[in-house]
Amino acid sequence: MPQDKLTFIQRLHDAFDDYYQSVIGLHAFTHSCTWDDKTKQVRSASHSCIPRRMDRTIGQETSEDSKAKTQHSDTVTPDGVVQASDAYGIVAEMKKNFNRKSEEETFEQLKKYDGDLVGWWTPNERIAGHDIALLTGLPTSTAATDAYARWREAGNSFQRPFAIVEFSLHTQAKVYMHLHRVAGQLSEPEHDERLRQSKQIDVLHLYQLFSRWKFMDNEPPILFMLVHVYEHTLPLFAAEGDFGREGATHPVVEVSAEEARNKMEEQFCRRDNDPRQFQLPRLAWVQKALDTLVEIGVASRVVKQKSKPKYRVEVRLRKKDTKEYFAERLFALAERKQKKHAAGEKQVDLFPNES
Amino acid sequence: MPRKSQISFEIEALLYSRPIPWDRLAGVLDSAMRAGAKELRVKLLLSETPLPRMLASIAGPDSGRLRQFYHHTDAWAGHLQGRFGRERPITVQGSFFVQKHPKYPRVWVLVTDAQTDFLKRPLRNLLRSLSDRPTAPILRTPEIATLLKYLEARQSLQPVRVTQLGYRSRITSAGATKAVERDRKWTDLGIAEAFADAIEAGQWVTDASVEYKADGYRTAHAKIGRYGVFTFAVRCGSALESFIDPATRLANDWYDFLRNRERAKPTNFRSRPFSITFDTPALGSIEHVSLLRAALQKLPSVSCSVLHGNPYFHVAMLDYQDGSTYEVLVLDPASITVIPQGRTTVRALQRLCAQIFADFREGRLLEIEHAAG
Repeated sequence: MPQDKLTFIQRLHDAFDDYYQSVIGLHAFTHSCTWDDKTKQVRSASHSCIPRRMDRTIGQETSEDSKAKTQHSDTVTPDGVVQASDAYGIVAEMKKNFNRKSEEETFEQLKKYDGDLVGWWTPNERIAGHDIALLTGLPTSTAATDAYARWREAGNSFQRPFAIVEFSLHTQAKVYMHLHRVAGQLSEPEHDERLRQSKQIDVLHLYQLFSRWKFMDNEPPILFMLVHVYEHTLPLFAAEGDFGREGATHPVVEVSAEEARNKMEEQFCRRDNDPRQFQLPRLAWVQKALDTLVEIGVASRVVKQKSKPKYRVEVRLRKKDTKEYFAERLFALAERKQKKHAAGEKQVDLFPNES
Repeated sequence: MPRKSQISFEIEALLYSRPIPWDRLAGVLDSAMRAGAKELRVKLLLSETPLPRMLASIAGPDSGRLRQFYHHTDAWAGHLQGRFGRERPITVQGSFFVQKHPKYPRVWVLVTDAQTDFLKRPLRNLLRSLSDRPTAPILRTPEIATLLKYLEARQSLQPVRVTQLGYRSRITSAGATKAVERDRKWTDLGIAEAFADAIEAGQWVTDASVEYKADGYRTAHAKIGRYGVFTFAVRCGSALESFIDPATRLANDWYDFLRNRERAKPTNFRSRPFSITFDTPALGSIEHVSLLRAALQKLPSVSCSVLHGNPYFHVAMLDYQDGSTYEVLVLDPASITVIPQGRTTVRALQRLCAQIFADFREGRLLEIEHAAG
């Protein structure tokens, strides 16, 4: 049931901030892992991928004649994978708002990375050693640290080095991203010590983080998708000359979800033709955003025979602050859905990552 | 006393009958002034699409709103008129020519003997209606001062005096909802003194008028406007020759700086952000950032979505005049970072910079250096 308007819209904004700062924090950490303090450059032999599909060996069977051995594996998808050198890597998982209610699931998930992972940037896709890092926001780093202590007291442990790193944005004249290792330890002594003492990611690099990276593997909140689809993506499907003509109507674009997704990927995600790299954003996220544009009356569906459905959108200035505009329309939509829900229809969760 | 029509005929013959070779431009404009032109205005425009082609495509026959005198590949001349006002409409009209700078092909020099109203009304509307709208450069305070110093250097022992200075400055009064106030002073100062006073007072200059001796004895006037408009009275030859080449170079550099910053395939969709840097911590408080936000929200036909307000300021902008998108980010109290996105035209960035300079503060455009860890 939607709360009063102010609370509802504040939740939308908070979810927006949480997601975006999680993306920035994840990229900041992976950047930190690849940074060479001596040369003041990214290590030339380093690689990173957010997220990455890795294979995990989970067991091995020997055939009855003891000759053939079969390895079983499954696929894991850490939020971030960094290879700092040919012999060392780090697997990172982002939990910006560490949730005590699901702490066991979190450590179970991290435990899956505590084995022989295949998918590194080496000839045999294996690496000599890797660390595991849990990234969490400043407000919940103590909860994460306490949860780790409880998990260890219960007799659990990681075979590989494990660390909890908190991240936060601070203002001290300039804005800095702080990375602070609050529990455990990473293998590289110099990097670990810098994180232990709280490392500042310089504002110059923050510009790069903010300018390019918009997605990680978690589903973004709907407000985030609406803003980035409407402001950054749909206008690209109209010609420059279609805008601003005197007396002319606003440009109208017709796009499919795939077309919009592909455009967003080329703008905001790195594609290295690597089969282990995910396609981001996911098609389902973009589809949901376009469907929501239809539901709030900003778009309409165009169904043509023998072709995929498209979405027709008039790209025009609806309100000075598009984010505020969409927040208000989402509230109105939630109210309508609440009434329908009361009448027995299924309600769509607008806050998929909240728990 | 020659009749007004005779004066007009002579001026038209001098200015609008044929393209003027670049090395003779100053002399021809001086001749036009000797023939009776009261003021001449020179406006710099930036366009990759040839302006003559665009103007020729919309010029009408002998009569009509836009009438063509001549059309060459790199030059065009014609007459423009427009009617303004509802209850008592008036006709504002004038002739002008435009030609390409020989060294900087994206810089076009427009010259007219018409009054200021002609530039502000029918000519501005005409330029805005062109399919590939040209942009104007922005001359910052130090650049305006430098151009005037070129004139001073040319004048050798004869003084060049600043007679009028238009400027803007920040309002520092507590509780002010506006960031900037405008003012103008009438004065009689040397160039260095006038600009030093302005800079010391935290002002940035929007236009400067000077008085100097032309032909050794005749008092002439020249004015430089921030958006690349030069106005000359009495004579213009020596002033034009002092200003025009450095000004067109500045205009070309301005254009070069702002172009090709968007995410595009040739750069693997990497944006080229740049910063607008101030000499003081102009964004050192939440109140200052609010003033910047207000300035950005005043941009007409541009949406300004605040992605984050505090402790860092991050907005997504969409310019509905051409579909340009970019982000503005403040992480540093002394600079604004502009992050071009999928389509970001020079025109859109010029509008952004003009708005920030006009309603927030003038700054320097700088490349973002390589990131540090």
